[in-house]
Amino acid sequence: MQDPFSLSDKTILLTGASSGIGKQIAETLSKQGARLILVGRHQDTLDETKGYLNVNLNQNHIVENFDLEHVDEIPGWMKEIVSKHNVNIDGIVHSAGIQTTSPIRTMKISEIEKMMSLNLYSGLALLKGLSNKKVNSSGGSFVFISSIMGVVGQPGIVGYSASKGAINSAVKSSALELARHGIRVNSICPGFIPTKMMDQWSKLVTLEKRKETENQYPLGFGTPTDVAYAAVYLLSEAARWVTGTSMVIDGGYSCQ
Amino acid sequence: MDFKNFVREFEENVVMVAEGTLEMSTVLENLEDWDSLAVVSTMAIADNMFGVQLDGEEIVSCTTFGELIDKVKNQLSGA
Repeated sequence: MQDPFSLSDKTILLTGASSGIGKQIAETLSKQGARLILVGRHQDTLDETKGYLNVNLNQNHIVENFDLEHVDEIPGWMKEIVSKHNVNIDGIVHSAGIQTTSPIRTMKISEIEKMMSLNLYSGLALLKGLSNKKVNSSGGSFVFISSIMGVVGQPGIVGYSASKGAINSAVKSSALELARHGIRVNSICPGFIPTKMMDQWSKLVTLEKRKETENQYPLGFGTPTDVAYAAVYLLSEAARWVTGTSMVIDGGYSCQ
Repeated sequence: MDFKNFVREFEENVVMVAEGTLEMSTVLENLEDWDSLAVVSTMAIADNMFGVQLDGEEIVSCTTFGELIDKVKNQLSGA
């Protein structure tokens, strides 16, 4: 019986693979047999990630240099790469994202706009691309890496919460719209995962506050691997009946 | 360096007091809106106005408003 969590016959496009959670997702998906299309702005860090990946299964991973800030160009670019590499994209994990801590009293809308653009708009543009029959014709799975901060709140991160909460809502409507095309859409909502993106937050708060935060997690802080395994599930045949959901992976943080 | 704008911004948007309320000897803890978010906001305006990167712990170690201004001045002079 075939492993239901295997991704061995799937081509998955992954954003944010240069660092943090995205980098771990690349490693884990590769171990599950997926062929990856790694997307990012920096060729050298993408090549570095590709270098780490397990290629025992002859996956022949692809690296594509593209700046997701060019949101309107995303769907067209996706058609190009599908044609160029002669592939069908079976799934997408949108892990690229930014977080800035900015209290309301001094926040700038332009900062919020940057988060909305990368966290949400580029994800939606990728989803648009995936829904095109030239890119995907046999059904697929789209996974947004959202955040627990799109489910519960926290002072100081209004813009970030807005972008992640928007993802969680978008997942529901898009799941309904794309169900008949065989495309499932879900998000993963991780709790606090110490990564480079969170270094900024760590520098902004006092040590006392950091310890206080860790104590709010019944199972402690998470790791990128915890998120990667959830991505495997949602991309695999095991999740064939899962769509329109936001999967909380947070060590028990939000159940209190 | 003109600190008047910094003081005005700090008064209005960080600790939300009337213009001209703060003195160098004002004890920060006594200000109602001096909380952990005010600390983050202070870092944001110091960065936006002067390009100065202040540490959360540094700011929290200041007792008076004057000490905070000194921290910003020190960073600016590269101390």
